Amino acid sequence: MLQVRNLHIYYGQIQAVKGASLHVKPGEIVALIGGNGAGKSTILRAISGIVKSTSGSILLSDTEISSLPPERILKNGIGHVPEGRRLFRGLTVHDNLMLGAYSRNDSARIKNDIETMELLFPILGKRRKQLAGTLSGGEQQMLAMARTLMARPRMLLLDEPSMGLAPIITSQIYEKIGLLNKNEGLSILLVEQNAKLALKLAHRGYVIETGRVVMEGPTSELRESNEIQRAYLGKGYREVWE
Amino acid sequence: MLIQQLINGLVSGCVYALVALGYTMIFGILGIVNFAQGEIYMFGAFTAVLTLAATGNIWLASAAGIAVACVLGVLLERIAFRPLRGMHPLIPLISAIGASIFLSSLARLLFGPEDRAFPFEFHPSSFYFYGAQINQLQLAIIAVSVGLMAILTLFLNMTKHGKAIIAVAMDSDAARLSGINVNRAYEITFLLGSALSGAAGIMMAIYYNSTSPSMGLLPGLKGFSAAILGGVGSIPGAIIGGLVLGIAENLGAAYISSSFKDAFAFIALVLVLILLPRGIMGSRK
Repeated sequence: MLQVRNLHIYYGQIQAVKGASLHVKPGEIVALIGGNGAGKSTILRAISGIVKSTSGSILLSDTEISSLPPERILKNGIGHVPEGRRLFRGLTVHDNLMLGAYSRNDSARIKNDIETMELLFPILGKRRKQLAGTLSGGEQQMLAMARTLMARPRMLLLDEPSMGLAPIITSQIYEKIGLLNKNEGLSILLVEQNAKLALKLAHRGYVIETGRVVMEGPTSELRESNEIQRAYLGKGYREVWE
Repeated sequence: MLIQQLINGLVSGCVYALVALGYTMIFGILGIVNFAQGEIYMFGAFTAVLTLAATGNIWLASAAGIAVACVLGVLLERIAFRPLRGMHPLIPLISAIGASIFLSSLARLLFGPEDRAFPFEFHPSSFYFYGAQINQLQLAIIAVSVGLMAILTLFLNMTKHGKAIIAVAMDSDAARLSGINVNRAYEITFLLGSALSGAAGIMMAIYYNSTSPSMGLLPGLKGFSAAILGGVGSIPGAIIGGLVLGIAENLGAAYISSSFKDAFAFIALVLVLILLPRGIMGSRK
């Protein structure tokens, strides 16, 4: 469904992504794990068109999308829930959802979809008239996801959905992500610092280090890899120390 | 006397508020100060005067004046600002000053340097209100300004495209990810701001019965001051800032000295900024 080939991205003089290749099949959850500044978020930002790649190709169902502006990429079916949620904080929950549906003109179905979102995330229905900036972190993450879903994407890019959230809220969010994938068949590309969580939910994973893919495979294999256990899952420190 | 000055202040305040709305909207969404706002005001007035002289139809003339102001605003965004996006904020500022000088020189070439009277004479009837003499023209200017401000506020808060503009002003990347075409939002913002300035220019050309290539200079500066006074980026702030400025300068002119009329507007600006550095309605973080 999504195919990224040999992607290079520069921020000014600094090269953030150095020839990364990855793909996501329809209905699949794929995790990108790796440390801070490894280039994971940059890859997502390039896929949704917020940053432009220097070279390489991004294909969505065999169509090149790397030169399209973000609003066209969204219309083609890729929705991006950015790092830090980036809600319209001074607008109401309802306004945020409506803005998520900005690219659509079918007002009857938009209304329907808002009800669907309020069923999926009941707290959003209760907070409908509240300003988005007054929501708690978990509620903001739910609203950010719902806002993106309002555009009816076929594929969701999720950037650090667990950032700053208590473990119990994180597991609620992850449960919803799993449901969206299972029930709606939504393909998901997930960037996550919390490798343990991501490798539990996803089908396949890529390990990104300094802008390159250093390891890839089914998550069952990645979980067993010694290197990943030591570097990202915090196991085996005792052996290293002793 | 006091009521008379308040009414006079309200009339000029409404005009400053209309110009200030253009400044504040463009600053709010793009972070740039469009110093050519006063020239758009002037071009709106000139277009109306010339159309009126040619056709004799005041409604057609006003529509033409506002239309030319809108076209100028959109062209300005395309030519003077869009190519400079993402650069250091001083660069679009210099570009705006350049556009302002270019437009006023162009007006001097096209229309000649001398003052022109409005080609249609209004004979507004006046009435007395607690000893103040108010004429219908003043009432009409206040009514039209209030109407335009109401339309703008409704557009921004109640329509899809208006909310998209607010969203772009809050977080342009998040707006792009929501499918909003930010270039379109910038264009609509310039169009709206320019339409308001053009309308203000036409009303002042009628009120003072005079149109000249430099007529936009002072209202442009005062509109800018009004936007800062009210808290730059704030829509209600621009309206309040304009009214405060208009009333302050008329009261100052009446009770202290009329030769310092323009100075009072700027004294009010300095005083407010000393007391409230973010402006009357500016966010206090």
